[in-house]
Amino acid sequence: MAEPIMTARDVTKLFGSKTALDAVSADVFPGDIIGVLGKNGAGKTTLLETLLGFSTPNRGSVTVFGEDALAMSAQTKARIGFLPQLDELFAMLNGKQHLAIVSAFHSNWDRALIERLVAEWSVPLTRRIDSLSVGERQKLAVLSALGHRPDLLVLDEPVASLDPIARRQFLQQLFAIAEDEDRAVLFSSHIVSDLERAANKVWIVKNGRLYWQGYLDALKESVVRLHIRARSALPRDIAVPNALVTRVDGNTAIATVARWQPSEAAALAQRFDGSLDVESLGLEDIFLELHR
Amino acid sequence: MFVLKPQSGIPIYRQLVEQITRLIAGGQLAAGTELPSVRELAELHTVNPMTISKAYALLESEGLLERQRGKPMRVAARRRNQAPLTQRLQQLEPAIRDVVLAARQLEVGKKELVALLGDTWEKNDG
Amino acid sequence: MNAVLRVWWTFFTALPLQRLLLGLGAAWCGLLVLGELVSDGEGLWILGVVGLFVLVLFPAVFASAAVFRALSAPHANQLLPHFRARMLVGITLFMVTVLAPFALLFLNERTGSGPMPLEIIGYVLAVSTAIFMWMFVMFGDWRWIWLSVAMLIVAWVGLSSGATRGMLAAIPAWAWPGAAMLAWIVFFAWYVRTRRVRAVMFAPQPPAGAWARTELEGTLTRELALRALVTGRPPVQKGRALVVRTAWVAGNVVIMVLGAFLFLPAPLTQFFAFTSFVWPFGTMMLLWGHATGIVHRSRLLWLRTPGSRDGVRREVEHALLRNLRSGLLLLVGVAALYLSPVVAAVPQQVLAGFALAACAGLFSTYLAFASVPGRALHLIGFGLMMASQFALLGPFNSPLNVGIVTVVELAGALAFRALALRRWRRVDWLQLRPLPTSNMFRGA
Repeated sequence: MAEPIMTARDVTKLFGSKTALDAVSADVFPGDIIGVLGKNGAGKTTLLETLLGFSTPNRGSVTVFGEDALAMSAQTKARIGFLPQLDELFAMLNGKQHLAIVSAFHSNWDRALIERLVAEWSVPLTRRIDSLSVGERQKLAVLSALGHRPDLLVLDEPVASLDPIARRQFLQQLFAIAEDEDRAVLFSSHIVSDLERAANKVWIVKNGRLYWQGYLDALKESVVRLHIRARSALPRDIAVPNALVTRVDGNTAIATVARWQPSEAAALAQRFDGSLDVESLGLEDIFLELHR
Repeated sequence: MFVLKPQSGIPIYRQLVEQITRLIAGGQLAAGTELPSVRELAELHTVNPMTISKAYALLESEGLLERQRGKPMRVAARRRNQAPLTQRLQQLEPAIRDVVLAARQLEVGKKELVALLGDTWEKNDG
Repeated sequence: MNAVLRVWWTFFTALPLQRLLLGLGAAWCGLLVLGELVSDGEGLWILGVVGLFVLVLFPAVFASAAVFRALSAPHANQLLPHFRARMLVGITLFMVTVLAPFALLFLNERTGSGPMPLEIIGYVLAVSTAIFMWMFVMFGDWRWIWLSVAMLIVAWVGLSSGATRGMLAAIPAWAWPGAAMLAWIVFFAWYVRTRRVRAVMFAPQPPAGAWARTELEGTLTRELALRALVTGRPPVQKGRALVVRTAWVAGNVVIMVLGAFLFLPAPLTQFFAFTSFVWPFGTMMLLWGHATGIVHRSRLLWLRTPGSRDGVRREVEHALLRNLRSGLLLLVGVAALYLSPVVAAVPQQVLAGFALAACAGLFSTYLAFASVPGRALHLIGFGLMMASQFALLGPFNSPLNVGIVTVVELAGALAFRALALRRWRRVDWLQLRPLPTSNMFRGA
């Protein structure tokens, strides 16, 4: 297996008495498109910022391209692209000036790519940034993060203000990046449907902990909803192995289980003396169930 | 040709695998037909190309598709590496259970159902 | 373009106004240089360089601190390779450019005799550095102004002794640029090591979380709610915060007046006569920030508030007039100071000056009120009034001039009020978007 691009080990971050991140350990490998999912305030932004060295963790360490995130060399920084959640564009400039400044700092700025995307995404470059709509500003910020073809792209809610067409265009661009198997993308989003299309791995952040991390396909196959229909009334405190949530109603019970193995189905049906239906859940449903 | 639902509980690669498998079994995808390239399909459905590759790789390992150098995947002429019968039957189980449940709800008896199954088999031969 | 050059260029072109001035300055300089070559006149190019300095370089020094902060604050920029080093080189190059005209004078044989030009370069460096550092610190957090008041008081106490004043005169000319260089070294050291540079805070905003901490007891009347929305401050803000704000404004003014009249030699005190341009101009500046804020916050208020448009408009006008009233109260205090034995001004002059400044305040209030769609009118009106005040109200002005300016201000105020009323009824509200500096909902 290839060397991870980014490694977080036991990262803990406290803001006063509040634990924003709690012993988070994770890896990003080349070729990954990782979707970070979590409630507001769960710690997604703090996580992304700490991973890039913007925030010093109270415990633990983060390594990016083999270097400590808090002390990255200029070459390493040049391989990273970052899009923060709140756009921090200098409002007085226009798009052209802004891109001129950003591109001047990078020796490997891909002008052709940016020109193509500016045309495709209809990004206005001659108007002042504070006269642009939120979506246009976000597109401009995305371009600033992409232009130097970073090997690691970290995006915090990159499409929150984009319309569906713009979101599709953005996803297409993400796939073009991911085609190069040496590059990785890490993005957080509320828009679960985008995550399902784009991500091959998912990190679920809950109360500052990395509640689940792994392949999206595995997650969908692992968390399922069981519909149990028994011949006689089921006990209230029915014990379904690995159940997250269980609801009993007379002869039927609905249980959401994690780490599901299809081979267990027959045994379970026999144990409850009835039939068992396995319902697979979409990512949004999984997310909701994990937060009950 | 394919209907992919990213929001479904069934992973995208599995949806694609199942659909291609069924189309081949049903004869809509004849041997030698070229499938759309990974990039084409990914672009059409706006899904991660890795998912499409995963599906194609899985089908290739099952012997349903074969790779051609520099050209898109092709439906295999002859099935190699066929899975054991028990496994193939297991794949049919969910569909059969749905049919049985529907039959029960429509109050159709077991004998009539089996007869219908036989008729449908005859009609869809080839 | 090379990153350092691009940063350097941005210091001169960031704000749209700067780009305009750059064009004008270049044209002016170019014309005069051309004139010199063509007409065989001597010294014309110096005028060109002076023009360039006044139009482009000096304003850029004021803007540079804000631009520096604005470029240094974003997270994404911290990841640009060698970002901080290049920024520092850029600002160094910028300072060198600002000093360049004086160096040119020094090199020119006609003016470059003796140490004078070199001294001037030293002073310009010191002044530019002071302006940059001052604005950089202030834009980071408006509350640094307290430190400046403290420093002013210390300076005042220090300067009240003749011995200190003698010492100041005895400071060698090289000490000023030396101090400036020291300041830059400290700045560079800080900048390279600090984790985060805060973004620019253009206008005083209620401290983060002020709204969150406000307890809204009982029912909030429509009037109070409108007032809160228009002024941008939580509805219940009494006690300490208000006193503190008033105190620092009053304190600054008192210090300035006393300082002027106690230390400046007699002819210069005329600048601070109650009928000079200082007071009407100062009143306009004092009211500017809040008036603009009120008007900007109220722009989309009509769409969000049920009820008549006129009702909202009246509330906005009341807020503006309340702002004016606090300015006038301050002015009364200053007038009292002028009548006191410290300054012992002639009562008629104080009265005339008061009328002058009050009408200036009225003018600026209604100018702000009328500038609903955009800032252009505001800037132009403000600029023109400033220019006429400078022109007509110099230190040795005549009662006629004072009268003229007062009448113009009053007439202007009435005219702008009429315009404001009309615009409030007619402006296409859906085309307006709230301006960023006044958005009170922006993250705490």
